[in-house]
Amino acid sequence: MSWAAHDLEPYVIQRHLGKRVAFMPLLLGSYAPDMFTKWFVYGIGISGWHIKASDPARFHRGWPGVGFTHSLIFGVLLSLVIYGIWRKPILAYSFLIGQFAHALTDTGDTVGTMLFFPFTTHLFSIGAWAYAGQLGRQVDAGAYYSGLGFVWDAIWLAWAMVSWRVLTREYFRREVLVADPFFKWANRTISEATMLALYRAAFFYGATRLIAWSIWAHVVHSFPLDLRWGGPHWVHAIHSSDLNAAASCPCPCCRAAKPRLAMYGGLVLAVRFRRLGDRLIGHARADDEAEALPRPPLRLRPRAIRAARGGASSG
Amino acid sequence: MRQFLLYLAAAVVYIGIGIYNQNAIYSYFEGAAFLVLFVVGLPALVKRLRQ
Repeated sequence: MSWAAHDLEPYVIQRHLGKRVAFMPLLLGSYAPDMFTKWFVYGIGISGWHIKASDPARFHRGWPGVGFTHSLIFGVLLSLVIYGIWRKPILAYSFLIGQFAHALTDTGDTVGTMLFFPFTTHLFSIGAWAYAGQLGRQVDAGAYYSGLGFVWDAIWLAWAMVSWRVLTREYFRREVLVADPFFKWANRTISEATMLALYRAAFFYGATRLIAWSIWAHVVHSFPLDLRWGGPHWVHAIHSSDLNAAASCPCPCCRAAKPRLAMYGGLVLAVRFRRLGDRLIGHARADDEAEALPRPPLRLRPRAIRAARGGASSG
Repeated sequence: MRQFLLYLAAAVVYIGIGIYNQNAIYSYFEGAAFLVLFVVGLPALVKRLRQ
């Protein structure tokens, strides 16, 4: 699972899509897969009773369980429900983008997500960091912030900080308030300062908990840092193969899932780098051409022209 | 600048609370409630007390 990434991704998406998305449904979509289930994964104590899933990892990501909340079709269905209730496409697809971001981000751990449920219960996992949700929240946090999960969250924090303009009051007024029906509605009842605080809250929460958990794990306690792939290896991690009901799933999607995903990933990277290269070359050419062009004649302001003419006539 | 410093102070306090008691950083809702109280409620309270 990812921690602060789910809080910070909506700001990066907001920066790239601007008025084309509504922030609150985007954030809600980003939280949706874990919103009502995470407490049961970690367990909760109520008046002496400890309630917890008997098989937390399977409950959280697998089937039978609520792993379908991390599937793409779940996002599509909830978006259709949202569209059916409010009849506003921007609410529906903003939610969808957020939910997709969550489902795809969680493929980074060793358990992964059932992206194509109900067509297959295969868990798609990149396996970069250990899944240790079954050991409780504190061990999970210690493990996550001792492995590549820490790097992953730090990347999102850096990316969100680079996008700092989305946090400004001017940006909020110009892009968020006009596009988001929630804030439009809230604008009638609550002050702008409160709306701004609510808008910035996920960034605040993501950044502060990343720092707090990291200090807790490495300063207050001494969880060993292990940035190897699939780490930290000192924790008992659950892997997709441990609970994958479809380990030998015959569907073509599962049989070729990893090589195909790697191929698509490679293609996306190649296209991105090519575009970046083209853009850089384009900028360099434009600069060269601008330098090669003859400079336009100096334009005088009307007052300067009159002064020059007056000077000429008087002289 | 005053706003930024207020948010920064809120972050420092929240990190401190979070390290001391991890239940305070359990979910987004706690974070949002804390932030609203700190950057909106607290200045409003101080302003009222000064009047």
